[in-house]
Amino acid sequence: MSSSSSPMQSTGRKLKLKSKDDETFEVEEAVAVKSQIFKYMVEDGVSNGPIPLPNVNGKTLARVLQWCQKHADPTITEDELNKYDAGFIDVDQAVLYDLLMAANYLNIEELLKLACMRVADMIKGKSPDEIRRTFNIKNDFTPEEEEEVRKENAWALGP
Amino acid sequence: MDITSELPDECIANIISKTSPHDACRMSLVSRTFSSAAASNLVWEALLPPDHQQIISESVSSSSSLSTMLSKKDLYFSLCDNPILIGNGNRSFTIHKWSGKKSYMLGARELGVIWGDASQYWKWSSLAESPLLPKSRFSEVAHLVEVCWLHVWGNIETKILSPNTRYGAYLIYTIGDQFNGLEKPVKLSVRFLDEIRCDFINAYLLSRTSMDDAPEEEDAQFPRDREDMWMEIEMGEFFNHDQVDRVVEMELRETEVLNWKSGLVIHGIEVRPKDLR
Repeated sequence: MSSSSSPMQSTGRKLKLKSKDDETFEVEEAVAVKSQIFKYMVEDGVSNGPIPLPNVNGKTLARVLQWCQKHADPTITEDELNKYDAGFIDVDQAVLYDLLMAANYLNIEELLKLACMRVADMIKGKSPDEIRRTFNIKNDFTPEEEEEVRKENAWALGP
Repeated sequence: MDITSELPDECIANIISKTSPHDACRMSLVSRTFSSAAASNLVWEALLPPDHQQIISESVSSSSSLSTMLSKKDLYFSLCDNPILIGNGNRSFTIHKWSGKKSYMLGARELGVIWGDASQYWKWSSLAESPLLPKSRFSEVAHLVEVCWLHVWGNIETKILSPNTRYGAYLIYTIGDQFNGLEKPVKLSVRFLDEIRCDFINAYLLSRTSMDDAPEEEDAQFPRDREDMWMEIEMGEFFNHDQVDRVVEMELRETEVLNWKSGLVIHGIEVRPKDLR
């Protein structure tokens, strides 16, 4: 076995992560660095002891790490990866939000893109009212403001 | 829980940027946060055609400050409402508002016109010389003085169009005060140059209402009036796959009956997305 190392060849080092609900995870560096946050930590050498992640719960972190693992696998084909992603992101709204927030917080570009795309697909074609209902958003416009915005965008509304 | 109150604005903009122009505008109505995210440059940079900067920089009509002075959203709508001249001024570019796809118009001077160089058959005139006509986007329009052999065509390269889009080609024209022989049907076709097959459809250049004996045919094309006062008639359609180098040819012919025809005024051929509102 040749000793040339690819980035994926594990240095054997693992990162310890702790979710906000105190679940701990051990993950190989090569997998963890999918997150820019961890990438900087590893480069700066700050990776002793478990890294606390107060913004991500255990269930979500487990999912995210699973995604990172798959995407760090050098043997997987693009086709397989696309299929995996399609299945991965086909989750109910609550899980999707958690993934979106986690990907944003941990700065995992590809996962964020995937989650954003999924949310975008959910809101395409919906009326403002439907979007508000889907995401529990409060309409914080004053009646005058709303009328103004409605006039500006009248061309996009309607049947 | 309102997730949008927890997500950074950039994230919301990211999501909106993956929808469409009409979705983005509709979303401005959801909440203040959405409104500001939906107006951001991040969103409209993504919704503008990827090569819009290059097209603008090569335009012969727009000022170079067009793209630097306007926000991306304003730039988008400016390009939708104000076609810019490109090429040597005989083509124009605009964006189809609803979908964000690219649209072009080939001015009459860009078209092949049999007998076009002979002034006893075709006359080329500028706007100033024809004040009664609808306003022309280009410096010249083609007036049919008289021909028997009517054959006009235009070519467009698919690589300049938006990929994965169904396009329609439309002859933009009007009928002058004095006209003759235009009640006979003409043939229109749209095809890829590399295809052998060519399907012509029958069409009537005069509107149904202006003809004394309107033909009964149901499957012929008839013109419709446009808001800019020109008339248009659909020549055909094609689907632009994600391919690079093909050429589409759009033709108008009357070369069978060969009666004398006069009074047709051609503005150009417009190629725009079809069935996308």
